[in-house]
Amino acid sequence: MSFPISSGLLDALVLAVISNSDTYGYEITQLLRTAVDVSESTLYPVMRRLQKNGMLETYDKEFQGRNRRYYKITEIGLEALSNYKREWTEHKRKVDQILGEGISA
Amino acid sequence: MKRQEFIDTLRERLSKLPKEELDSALDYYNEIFLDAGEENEEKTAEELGSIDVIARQLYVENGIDPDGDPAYFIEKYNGPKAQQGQQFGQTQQNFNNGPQAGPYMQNGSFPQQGYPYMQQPAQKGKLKVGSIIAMVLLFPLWFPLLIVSMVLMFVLTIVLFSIELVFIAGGISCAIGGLISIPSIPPAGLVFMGGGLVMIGIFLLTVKYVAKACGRIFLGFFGALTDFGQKIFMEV
Repeated sequence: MSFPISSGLLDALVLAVISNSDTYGYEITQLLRTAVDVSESTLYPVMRRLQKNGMLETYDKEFQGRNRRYYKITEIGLEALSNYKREWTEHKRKVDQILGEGISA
Repeated sequence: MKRQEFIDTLRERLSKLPKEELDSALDYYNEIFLDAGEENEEKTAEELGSIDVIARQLYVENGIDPDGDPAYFIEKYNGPKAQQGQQFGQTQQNFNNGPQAGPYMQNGSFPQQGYPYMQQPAQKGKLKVGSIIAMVLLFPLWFPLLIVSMVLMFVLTIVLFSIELVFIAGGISCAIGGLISIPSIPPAGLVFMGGGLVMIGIFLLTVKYVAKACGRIFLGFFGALTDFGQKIFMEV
């Protein structure tokens, strides 16, 4: 079974992936796929919105004779990410409390 | 489905998006296909999921009704998505209050839904009451400035027109005076007539531009004034 992923959490994951190093669309989807069941169809609008909100920036780089669009996190994005992380830790703690024993911290 | 078919279908489906948005989306999906490799096109298209879902999501993000309903309310689309978002609803709600909020968080009107996907359609033409009160109270401050700038504008145009007037009137009188005095004092008469004709020439060459410039000054001034007023009084 899988847990449905909320948009806020998806934002946080995308920001986290991009904060590690500048990266491009395909790589982001591949990385996220290891953790969540998410198709690119939901990813593009997310990244576009994050970009419009000034949390991401893009730049183009040539790769094998074509363009590849790289995503880069901004100051606003980093700030949002740290807030997301804090919120997530808190949320996880509460869920773990209810789920009880056997949950490693 | 192959890459080209996917892109073509998506383009068709997204035809209502602004060109910039459309191009950006198509570029993105094209790049995904190319990065996934030519031999994996069928699989990639499958993983990308339904084009209809992609299109609907993008339309909603751009404040366009995916079904073309003119009376479009974003709340309509909050239903099923909101359920999904509920799980982390509280988390998002806190974000909505955060100072780091992006544009989509500014209107906290989706507290329970808390679904950042959902942007409210821009509300235009709403008056800012605070600004109006401030402007009324600050009337003694900005009104003289407005008057002074308008007077300056008038002076500028009057000066420009006066210069033109000097050229045409001086030119005509010099030319006529010169013509009359040619028989009695030929050199002086010729010089005056020549000078007069030069001035008329300058007038003819410049009058069009001066008139245009004056028009532009007025239009520019009032245009800037309306823009400014809109910025102050209207909520964007």
